Amino acid sequence: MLNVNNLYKTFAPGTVNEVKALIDVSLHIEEGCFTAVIGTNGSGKSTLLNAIAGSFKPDHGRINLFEHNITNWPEYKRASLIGRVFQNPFAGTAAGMTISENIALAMRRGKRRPLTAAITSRIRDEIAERVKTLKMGLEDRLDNPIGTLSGGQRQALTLLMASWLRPQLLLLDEHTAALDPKTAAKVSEITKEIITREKLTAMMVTHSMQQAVDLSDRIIMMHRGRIVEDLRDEMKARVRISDLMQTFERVQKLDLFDQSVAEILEQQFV
Amino acid sequence: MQFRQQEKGKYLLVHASGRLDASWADHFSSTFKEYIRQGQHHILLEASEVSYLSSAGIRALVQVVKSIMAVQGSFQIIRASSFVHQTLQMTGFESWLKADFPDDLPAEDTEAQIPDESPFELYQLNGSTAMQLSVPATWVPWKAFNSNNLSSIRFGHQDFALGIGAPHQSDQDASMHMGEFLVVGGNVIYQPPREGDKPDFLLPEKAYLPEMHCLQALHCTGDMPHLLRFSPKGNKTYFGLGELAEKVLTETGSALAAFVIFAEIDGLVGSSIIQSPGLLKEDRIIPFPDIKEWLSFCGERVFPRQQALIFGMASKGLDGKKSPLLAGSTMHKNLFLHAHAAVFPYLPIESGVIKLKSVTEKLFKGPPPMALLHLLEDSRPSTGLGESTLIRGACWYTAINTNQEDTIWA
Amino acid sequence: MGIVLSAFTIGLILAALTMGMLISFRMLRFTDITVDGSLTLGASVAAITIINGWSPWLATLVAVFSGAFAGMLTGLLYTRFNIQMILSGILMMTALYSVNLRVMGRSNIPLLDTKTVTGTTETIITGVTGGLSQINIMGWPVSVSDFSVFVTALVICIITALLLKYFLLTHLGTALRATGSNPQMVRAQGINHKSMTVLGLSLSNGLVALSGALLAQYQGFADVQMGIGMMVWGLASIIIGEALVGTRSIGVTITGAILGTIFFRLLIAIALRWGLNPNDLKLVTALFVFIALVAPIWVKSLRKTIWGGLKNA
Ligand SMILES: Nc1ncnc2c1ncn2[C@@H]1O[C@H](COP(=O)(O)OP(=O)(O)OP(=O)(O)O)[C@@H](O)[C@H]1O
Ligand SMILES: [Mg+2]
Repeated sequence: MLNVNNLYKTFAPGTVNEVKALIDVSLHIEEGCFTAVIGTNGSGKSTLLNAIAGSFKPDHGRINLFEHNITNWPEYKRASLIGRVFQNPFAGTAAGMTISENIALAMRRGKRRPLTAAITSRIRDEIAERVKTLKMGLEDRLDNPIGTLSGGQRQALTLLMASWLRPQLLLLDEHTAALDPKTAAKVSEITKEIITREKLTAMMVTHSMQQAVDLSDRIIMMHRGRIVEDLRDEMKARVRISDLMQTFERVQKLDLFDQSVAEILEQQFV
Repeated sequence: MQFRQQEKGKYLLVHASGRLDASWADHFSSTFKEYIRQGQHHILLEASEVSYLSSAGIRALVQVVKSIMAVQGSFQIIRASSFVHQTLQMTGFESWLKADFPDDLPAEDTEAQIPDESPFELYQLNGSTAMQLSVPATWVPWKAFNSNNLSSIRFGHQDFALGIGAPHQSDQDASMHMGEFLVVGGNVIYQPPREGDKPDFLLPEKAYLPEMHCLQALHCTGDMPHLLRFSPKGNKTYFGLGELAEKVLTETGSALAAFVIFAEIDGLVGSSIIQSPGLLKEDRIIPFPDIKEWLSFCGERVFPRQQALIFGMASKGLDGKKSPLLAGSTMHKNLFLHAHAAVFPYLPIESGVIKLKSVTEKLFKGPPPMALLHLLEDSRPSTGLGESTLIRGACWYTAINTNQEDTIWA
Repeated sequence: MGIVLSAFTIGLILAALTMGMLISFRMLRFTDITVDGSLTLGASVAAITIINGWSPWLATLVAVFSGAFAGMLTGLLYTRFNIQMILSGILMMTALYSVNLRVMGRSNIPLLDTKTVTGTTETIITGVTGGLSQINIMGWPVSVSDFSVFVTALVICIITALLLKYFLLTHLGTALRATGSNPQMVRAQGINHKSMTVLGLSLSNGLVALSGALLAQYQGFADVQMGIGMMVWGLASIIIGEALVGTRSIGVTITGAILGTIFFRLLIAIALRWGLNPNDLKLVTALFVFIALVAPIWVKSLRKTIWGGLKNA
C-alpha cells in the first residue's frame, strides 16, 4: 500500500538554520490501517505527511503508493490518490466560495474539470444529503460562503471533502488541534466514523495521546526526524497513554546521551 | 484543617483542628502518609479541636491506620471531641480512641534534642559470617556472544546475584533476550533488553526455582548476617550508594562485600541494556553514537520518592585490574562497585530490625517493578548527575571470602 | 447628453478590462501589470488588421487571442520560471511596448475611415429609424452613429459578462476561482494551480485586449501610449463596483465591475467638465485607488450606507 523508503529532507541545508527534518525514514502502511503519528514539536510529523502528499520533493528516498512510484509526482497529481485535512481549519477550503462550490471542487478531486456547470440541482441534492450526515445543520447553508463558518464546521467539511471521492490514503495533520475541546471531540468522532465506514487507509498526526490510543490501529512516534517507536497489532492494543508518555520521556532523554555519557559508560559499564 | 506536630520520643503528636470531611479527607491522608514516609510510625492524633468527622473522614483515617499497621506502627486518637468520639464509637472504631497520652510519652519535645545522633543503626542478625562468591559467567562488554559461555543457574531462597542473562529456555531465544537482572533471596528481577519494556520477575515457589541463563553473573549464597539502618538526621538528608558501600566494607572489615539495599530513592543514576549482547557476532568496541542503540542512559536523576531494591558488590583494596566485573568509582577513592537496582512504587517499611525475607515477601505481593538499572556514577564536571542516592532504608550485607581471588577474577 | 452617452459607451467598452482584471486581481489575487501592455496590444492588433482590410469582428477576435497569448506568457514567467508576480507583469508590459510598436509599425494608427464593429449595428438602426442621422432619446437628440456604438458596446459587454459568468460557474471556473483564494487547498483537490494561473491570466488579458480593440475602434485610433495607467483605472472600477453592489455572487460581482466602470467614467467626465486638468487625471485616479486600498473598512461602511439608504428609502 504506502511504502516510504529511506526518506531524507533537510531544510536550509548548509546554513545556520539547517534542520534535518526527516532522517532515513522508512515506513510501510498496509491497506485499511489507521495510523496515528505522534511526536514532539518539530519532530518532522508534518514534514513526513507533506512529503507523502508532495508539498515538496524529498532530498533522497522513494515513496510508493500502490503500484505507483509517486516520488516525482507533483502535489496536485498525487491528490488523485490522497485526501488531506490540514491543521489550520482555513487551509482546506476556499473562504470566499460557498459550501457547495467548495464541495463541488472536491467532487472532482484528481479528475478532469469540464466546462459544465459545477452546481446543478442534482449535484446540490447530493451535496445536501452528504452534508446532512455531519449533523451540523450545514445542509441549510450550502450557499453561504464557507468563510462564514466556524473552524470546527470548516474542518468537518474539509474532512467530508477529503473523503468525498474515496482516497487511497487520507492524511490528517493535527486536524483537531486548532479547535476547542468540544468541537475537537466532535470532529474526531466524525473522523473515526468516516474512516471506519469507508475503510480508509489513513495517517493522522496528533498531539493528543488519547486520540492516538482511541482512534488508531497503529501508532508511530517521531523524534528529531526519525521514527523512534512503531506500535502495531498487539503492542498497539495494550498500549496506554502513560506508556506513550514514558516513551516520550525516554526518547527525549536520548538527546542527553552524548559523547561524555558514552565515556562514562565505557569506564563504568561492566 | 490545620495540623501542628511535635516529636515526643518515638511518638509524633499531631494536634489537628477543623472539620475532617470529604473536602479535607485527601489532605488529611496525604499529610499523614508523609509523616509515615518521614519515618514517624507511632502517631498520636490530638483531636479535641476536630469538630466534625464524616464518613469520608473515617475512610481517610482507615487508610492512614492501614499504612501505619503495615510498618508495625501505632495510631491513637487522644482527647477526641465529643462528636468525633461518638462517631467513632458508633461506627465501631473505638479501638483507636485513647482517653489520655500513653505512659511512655516524654513530657518534653524531642525535636531539638540530640541533633548529632547518628543517622546509622547497626544490627547483628543470625547467619553465616561470610559468603562465598562464584562467577560462573564472565562476559564483559562488548565481547562476541558464544553460547558455550552461558551458564544456567537456578536460584533458591539463599541466593543473591547480579549480572546479564535471560530466563528463556533455548540458547537461541536466550541470546536474543540478554538483559540485566538481579537476584535477592532467590527472587529474580530481569529487564528485557528492549527500551520501554517493564522488568519481569520470577519468584521461587515451593519446588519451583527460577532459572537464568547467564552471560555474566556475580553470585553468592547464604544469609546476610548484618543490617544497617539509615535515615536522615540533621543536615544529613540522603545517602550516596558509594558511601553506603564504603560503610559496609568498613563494618565487615573485608576487602569484598555484598549488600542488599531496600530504600526510598532520592535519585538514581544508571543505564540499561536495550539490545541483547547475545547479538554480538564478534568482539567489538562500540563507539558513540552507535552505543546509544545498545545502552540507555537515564539522563537525569530518576525515580525520586520511589522504592529501590538494590543488590551490589563492593570492594576496596582488591586489584581493580583483576576484577573486571567491578567498576572503579570516580567519586570514592579505591572503591570498586557493581550494583543493579530494581525500582518499585514507594513502600514504607518498619523501623528497627527487619528481616530481608519479610521485606521481599511484602514487596512482591505489591505492584510490579517499574524499572531495572545498572547503577553508574556520573562525575562529569558541572553537568554530572553524581551517584545514586537514597533517603532512608535498610541495608543487609555480608563479607565475601576472597581466598579464591585468582579463579574468581580471571 | 452627448457627454453622458460617451461616458456610458467608454464605460461599457472598458468593462471588459475590468472584468478581465476581476479574474487576475480578485480571483487569482495576481496584481498583473501586463494589462497596460495587453490593452494596447489589443488596440494595435485590431487597428493594423482593420486597416489591412480584415473584418472588424475577425480583427477583434485576433486581438483577443493576442492578449490571451500575452497573458499566458506572463503566467509562464511566473509559474515556470518562478519570477515574482509583479516582475513577470512588468517584464511582459515592457516587452509589449516594443511589440506594439512593431505591430503597428509606428506609434499611432488612425482608424477614421475604416469599418468598425459598430457598422452592423449602425446599418440595423438606420434601417429602423428610416435613415435619420439623429434620433431622440428621452428628449435629447443623439446621433445615430453614437447611439449605434453605445448599443454595440452594450451588447458585447452583456454577452461577455454572460459568458464570463457561465465560465466561472463551471467546474473549471470554480477551480480557477479557488486558485487565488487558497492555492494549497486547490493542489490538495488535484488542481494544477500553475495551469490555473496561466489560464486565468490568459483569459484576463484576452478580455483586456478585447477592451483595447473596441476602444481603438471607438476613439478612431490606436496609440502606443493608450494603455498607460489602465491597470489602475481597472482597479478603481473594481473597487467602486464592489462598493456599489458588493460581491455576494459571481453575477453580482460581474455586474458590479460593469457598473463600477461606467460610474467611474461618469465621475471622470463630470470632473473634467468641472475643470479638472486632464493631465491630473491619472494622479487623481491613483489617489482614489490609494484611498480605496488603504480604507477598505471605509469602503465597506460606504457600501452599507448606500445599501441601507436604498433599503430605507
Ligand atoms: N518549510 C520549512 N523551512 C524550514 N524549516 C522547516 C520547514 N518546514 C519545517 N521545518 C522545520 O523542520 C522541522 C520539522 O518540522 P515539522 O513541521 O515537520 O514538525 P512537526 O513534527 O509537525 O511539529 P509540530 O508538532 O510543531 O507540528 C522543524 O524544526 C521545523 O522548524
Ligand atoms: Mg506539524
